[in-house]
Amino acid sequence: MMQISLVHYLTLGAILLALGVFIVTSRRNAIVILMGVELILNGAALNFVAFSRYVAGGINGQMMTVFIIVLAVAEAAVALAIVLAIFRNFQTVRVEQVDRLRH
Amino acid sequence: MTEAVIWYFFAVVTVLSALVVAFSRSAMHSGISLLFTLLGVAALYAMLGADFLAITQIVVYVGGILVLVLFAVMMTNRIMSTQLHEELVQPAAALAVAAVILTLLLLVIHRTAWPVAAVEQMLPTTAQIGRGFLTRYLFPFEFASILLLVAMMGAAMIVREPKGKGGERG
Repeated sequence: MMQISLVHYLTLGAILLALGVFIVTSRRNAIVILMGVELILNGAALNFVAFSRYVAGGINGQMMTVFIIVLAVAEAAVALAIVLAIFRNFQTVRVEQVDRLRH
Repeated sequence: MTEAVIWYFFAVVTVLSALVVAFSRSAMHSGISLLFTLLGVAALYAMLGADFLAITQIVVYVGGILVLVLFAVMMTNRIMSTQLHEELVQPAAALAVAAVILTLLLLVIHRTAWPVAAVEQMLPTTAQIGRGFLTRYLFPFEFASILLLVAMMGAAMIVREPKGKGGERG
């Protein structure tokens, strides 16, 4: 128990992922939903780094995490741009009030 | 022993702040709390011997994404908003889904006999990662640069004011 092992990291990654899923399915604010997606990505990235240290060795897992971070940046930029465009047209970021394709 | 204490400290910080992100009713509080989650994950990267990733996590996530998110929260927060606290959408169902996923994952994690190899000595990884970018991962690296360029152009296109409407909205 006092020796930190792979299972500890995997458990933490699973908790982060579950919390992210909870946020994505239950919140109404589009920006908070984006935060949930970031939590999910962080949980996955933590798993990659943990496997890279405890199972695979080398840096291949860390390279995957670098690309996950790159993807998270691209996703956040585009998604926040979409949120701002929605806010300009609907004056709200609550996802259940945005139900028209044409404004 | 010391390592375990430090690990549990960062793990508790990460999980508690992620809980605040999930259950706080204010988007601003969620954003600030996300800061501590990301810093906690960065610390765990450092404990895993991924020094480059820990710094990248702080620079990119905290310095870039989080600032962008907080900026968006402030821009979309209306001062005259009557609804200060938002309600959750079907919190029981969402909680059930998350709990089922977590239970399944924990079952798999704790029942699998992971082929744990001998833990290597921690070495600086930056040079190896840089070499990897230019050799084995050259194609994904170039692809990521194109992706970032396209995402940047797309974001600029999406937020652009439509022509002729810029004046009246100020």
